Amino acid sequence: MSEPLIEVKDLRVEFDVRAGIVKAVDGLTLTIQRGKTLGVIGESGCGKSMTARAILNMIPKPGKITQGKIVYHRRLQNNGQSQLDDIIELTELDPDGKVIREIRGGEIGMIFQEPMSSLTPVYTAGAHINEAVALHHLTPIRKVGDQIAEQVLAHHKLTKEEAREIAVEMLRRVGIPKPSQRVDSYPHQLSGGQRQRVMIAIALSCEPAMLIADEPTTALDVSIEAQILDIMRELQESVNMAIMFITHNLGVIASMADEVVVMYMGKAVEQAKVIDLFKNAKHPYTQALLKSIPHLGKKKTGARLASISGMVPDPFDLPTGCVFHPRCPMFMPGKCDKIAPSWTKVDEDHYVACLLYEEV
Amino acid sequence: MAAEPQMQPAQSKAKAGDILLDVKGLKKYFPIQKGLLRKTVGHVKAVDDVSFFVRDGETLGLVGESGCGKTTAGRTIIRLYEPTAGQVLFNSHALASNGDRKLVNLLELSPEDMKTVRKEISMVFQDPVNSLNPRMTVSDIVAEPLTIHGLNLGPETEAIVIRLLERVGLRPDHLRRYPHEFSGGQRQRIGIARALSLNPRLVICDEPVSALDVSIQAQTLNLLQDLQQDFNLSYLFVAHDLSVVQHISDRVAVMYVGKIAEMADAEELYSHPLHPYTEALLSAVPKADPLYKSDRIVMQGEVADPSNPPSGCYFHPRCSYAEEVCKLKTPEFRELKPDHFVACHRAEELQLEGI
Repeated sequence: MSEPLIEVKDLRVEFDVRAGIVKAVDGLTLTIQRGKTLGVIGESGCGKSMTARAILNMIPKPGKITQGKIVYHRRLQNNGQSQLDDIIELTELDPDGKVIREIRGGEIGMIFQEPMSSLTPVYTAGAHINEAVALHHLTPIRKVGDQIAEQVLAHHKLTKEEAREIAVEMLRRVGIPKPSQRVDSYPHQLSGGQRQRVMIAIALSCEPAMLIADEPTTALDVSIEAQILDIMRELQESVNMAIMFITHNLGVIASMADEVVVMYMGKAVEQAKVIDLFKNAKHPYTQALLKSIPHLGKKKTGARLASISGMVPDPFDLPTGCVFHPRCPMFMPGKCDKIAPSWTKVDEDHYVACLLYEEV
Repeated sequence: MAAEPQMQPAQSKAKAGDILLDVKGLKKYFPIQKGLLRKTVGHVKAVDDVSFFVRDGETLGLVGESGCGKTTAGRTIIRLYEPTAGQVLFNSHALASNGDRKLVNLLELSPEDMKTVRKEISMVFQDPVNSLNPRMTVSDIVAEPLTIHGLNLGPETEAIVIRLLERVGLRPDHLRRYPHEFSGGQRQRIGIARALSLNPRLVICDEPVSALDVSIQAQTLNLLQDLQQDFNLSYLFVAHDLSVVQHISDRVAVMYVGKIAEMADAEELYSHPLHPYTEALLSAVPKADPLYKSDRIVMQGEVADPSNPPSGCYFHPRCSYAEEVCKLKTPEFRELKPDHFVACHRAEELQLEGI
């Protein structure tokens, strides 16, 4: 049943800046299964977005992948007959090369948090639909339809009429009213929710095997968020697409993910099926995160939230041993500040990096 | 004026339950100007006939989606925007003699009186980065309200500032630092310390935690609750996150396109909503429980445009219970149950689901 699509193995991403080296991602291992949703949660700066960028081989300078590999099981359409998997190491590819550019946008789609700044603002009304530049982002001054069509044209050989038809169809599928008119709108004529739908339409127009959604609903209102999440679930079912869903919103994760990875300071601290994670969290950080959010519908007058004491550590001066130990309520002196925990299996499909579950 | 107005527990004459702030029929229309002569061609009705009140020592949560006018309402109350119409009645100590209280309409006060009242009302802003002057030290930022109100007593001020900083969980050695040296959560603490420096009675918190990570958000919410107890503060808590608002508020008002749709005790509002918009909002919030099976009411379309709102009830195009009357008549904001106000034609007959 479970077929791996992307395997991230012992990934390390470093930023060499003047003040020192920051390990944005430090020894991360995870697997994204075909057709499933992997949720990645963590606070700002924990490396969740950097992991997504590493998969697309798009680490911004001066960042570098210094260790580990990312394996992509590419499925080739062998004239509709037997399916062949071609194994590609994404980290080995030339970041500007032909193969990765086919994969980005074509086989692995992306949606970002800011629907406005993900759209390019510099195209005029006269821009032609068949202007098949290999860009995948929406531009605010180009018509929405052009931008979707461009995506399709960049990855498939179609005429511009066919591409436009696909654009209209995609807009209809993501729930934009009057798609045949909206296809000629510019991004600034759309609301935030509609822009995010256009982003999804672009990302999905080539039927990617995986969608990376980096905080796709964080900038949206709850009613619009609910609509977008519904659309994503529907489309996932219809095209058997894997989703890597990055967010800090535990509510969104609970309703979207099959499996969840919790990250802290560039490392995975826990991974489990979504129900196990919410009902039976093992790592003190996960437990604290779950307790620190106010739950809707459970009113206890005057109740305080459990907060995590202290702050996220300075990335240039990481604590020894387990990086969470200065904030951990279960801190064991002499152990947690000395020994780095290893990735331990505590249950079926449930892993945790914490000395509480290790024999040391 | 008290010689040392800082850090004193709030005036003891205030009884819990007294109405501190009473907003009646508040309107704020922003003109839409066009053409060479800047002719006014229409209005954005950001706040359109809004009425609510805040009692002493309580927290009123003001929730709604972006663009519903909640922030504008908060800012209009202290006249950061000049209101178009309405009344903002405030039960002021500073303007009354001999420690008594006096009900004043903030919108009719002279600039001098307004400045006096402003000591009793302060504000915490959403963006902890942009609401602090990057060229001022923490000590200057926190002491600035004192300086403005002529209460800066030189050497003593530093002691006051240190006490405030300690109260919000910062250290005295942070005094000479600049905002960029702090994390988001710490910056928000500086903003809170500044808001408390004049010992206010009402603090308008405009999305104070929405820019913070969850663990820092919890710390900040706890701090706000502690401070409320210690200083007998009242909060007008403007936010879009329904679970945060439920956690911190005694009562909640839900806004939609410039109007208040519903206002009630927090528990009552969340468990027995009377307005379809409240019901839909509650059902749209993703619950942090993977086993939660929701019969989600997906609101169609988007929030109405406040410069060109729909006829009748502004919510009717998205409302699954809308009838003919909803398209024609604007519903009245009325008290349907004790302390439970709603603006919906069908509130009596509908059986809505809460959480």
